[in-house]
Amino acid sequence: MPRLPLRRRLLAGALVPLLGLVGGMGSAQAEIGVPDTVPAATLLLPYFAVDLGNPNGAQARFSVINTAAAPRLAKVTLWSNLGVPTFSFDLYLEGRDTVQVDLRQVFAGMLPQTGPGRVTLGSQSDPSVAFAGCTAGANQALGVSLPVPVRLSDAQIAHLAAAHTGRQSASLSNQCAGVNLGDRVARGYATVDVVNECTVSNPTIAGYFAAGGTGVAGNANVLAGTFTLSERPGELIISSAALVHIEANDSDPRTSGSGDYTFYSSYNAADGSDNREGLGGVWQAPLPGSPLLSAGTDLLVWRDAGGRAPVPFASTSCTAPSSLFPLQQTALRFFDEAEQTFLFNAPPPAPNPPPPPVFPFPYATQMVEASSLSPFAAGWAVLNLNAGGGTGAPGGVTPMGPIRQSLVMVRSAQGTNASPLRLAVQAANVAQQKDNGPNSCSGGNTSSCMAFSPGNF
Amino acid sequence: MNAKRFRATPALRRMLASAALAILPFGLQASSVSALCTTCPVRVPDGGAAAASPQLATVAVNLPAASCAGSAPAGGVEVQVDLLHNHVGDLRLRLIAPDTTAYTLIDRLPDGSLSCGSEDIVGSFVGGVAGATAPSCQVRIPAVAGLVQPASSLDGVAAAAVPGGTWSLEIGDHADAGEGLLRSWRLSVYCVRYGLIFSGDFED
Repeated sequence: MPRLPLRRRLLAGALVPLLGLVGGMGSAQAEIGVPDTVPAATLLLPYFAVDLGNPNGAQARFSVINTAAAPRLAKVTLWSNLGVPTFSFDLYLEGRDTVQVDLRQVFAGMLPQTGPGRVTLGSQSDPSVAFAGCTAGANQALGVSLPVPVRLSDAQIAHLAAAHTGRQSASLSNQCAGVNLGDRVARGYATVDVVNECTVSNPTIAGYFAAGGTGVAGNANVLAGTFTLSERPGELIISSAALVHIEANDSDPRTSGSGDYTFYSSYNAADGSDNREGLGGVWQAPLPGSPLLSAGTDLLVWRDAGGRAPVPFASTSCTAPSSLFPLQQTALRFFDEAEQTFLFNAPPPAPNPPPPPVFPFPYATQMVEASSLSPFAAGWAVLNLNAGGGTGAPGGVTPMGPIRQSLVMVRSAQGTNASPLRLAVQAANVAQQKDNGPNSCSGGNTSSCMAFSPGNF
Repeated sequence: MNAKRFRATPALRRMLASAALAILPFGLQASSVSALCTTCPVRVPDGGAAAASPQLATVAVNLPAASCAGSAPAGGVEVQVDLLHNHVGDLRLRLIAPDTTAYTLIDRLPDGSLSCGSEDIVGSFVGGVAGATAPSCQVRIPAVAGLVQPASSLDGVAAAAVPGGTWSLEIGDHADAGEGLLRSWRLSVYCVRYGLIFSGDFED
């Protein structure tokens, strides 16, 4: 019987963003500091939402591909909406293998079962490998290694639900990992790292990274992947895109030294040991609104705390996170299709007092309706997500100064059941800003520089 | 006037059936037997690329023998299944009797000319009960739910005194890219044909 419409839409459809990568595998040009979809050592699922009270509400899944012939291990880490790691598990990928991770199943306690010999190897795959540590199946409150248990324990399932819906978790000494948004939707983001052995470690634990990929994590740029976010209000509505592909390079000066703004620098004291490229700090986002579309445009915004690691916090309601939050911004400027402009939270003419600052992207990850920020139905936006200056409060003293790593994707409805997600244009990369100042811009392009110099707001 | 079909839940039907036992004419005996999976949850491995050689998960329960004396043949059979799976169309579920007779519950549920790509089976396959419907692939989760008409008749189970012993639920995954988790299953045989008692129409 021919294969499935739903999976075709959820998975095969989601592979479209990778067609260029797969088709040009081996010839794709990797460049540090550029959000290019090339085989990478780390994949970022920048946002997920899993409705724990309604299976037909928001759901999320992603795929992990090993583009190389040799088998690889990958470490999946789930993070709360405040950037606190909550749970980790390992995947074993044969050469050229693809593994699906359905987060609805993960939150129900079912992790993907992977390991040598579980699939029939193809002609382009090297023989299976027995990686170190992959026979013990270590199982702790906050992580498991291979082989994974048949089902997570009730305590682990309860921890996952609590940590990602903003409730106290017994596994965290009744502290909160995420902020409570008043519903039963588990939110957060996920990372997938190439690793060298099976462990219950995660990227925040000492020894996970060591320069040159000699720690638990490796530096092989071999992973690719896609993700889908879905809802079923009646029909199936899906959004799909490539995962964010983050390359490792232990010889590039932007990713190999202490103080470099690498991807995991908030979690390793900015010692550069992860060798992963940092993401952008300023983004240009097309906002293709249209009155013909029934749904509006959403901004998916992932953010970093600028060299400071969020940790679980004590709160009975989980609504008052640590002093790292809310995350601020330099400025948010919108343009309509007739070049008219609007500055979010702009100060009125003197002598009127400035308005209280508003931070519409306060957490490590969120999805926000663009219409809540701008009066324009369509156009584009410049999102300077660095801290301080402009309408934002001072950035404070952090290892990265006012520079803040972030990522922006745009989701707009197209048709009745598809809402593609597209990566916004990176106007400035954090490594570049770290080296050349927060107002430096990609390629010296003056038009984009204009947009994120605070003085121009 | 719109008529709304009343469909009792399995739990409600069991409760009502129990109540019905109390009003059976004096001298008639009736009973029911039930067995719940005690080894669940159980993984359902991915079928791989070769549909001809599916991966099987066989999960047994031990059903006590029972006689529906006075009310034979037995009135109803219910196979409750709670199965997490992200591609129902991959699956063939069979109930295996102690004498190895196999009753197919669902067989690679189609969706038009394709196989059903929806998720999860959380429902009751019933025999001898009015109101059960043939399964269809629902976009919503679970893809198969409620009272479900099995692919092959369960009359063979319900037609005679209930054989005790090891009954098994066999789950075959016939395609790749999707594994599952059988969270629980239960086999129940009722001596009262409760479905006929409680089938009726209600007005809005």
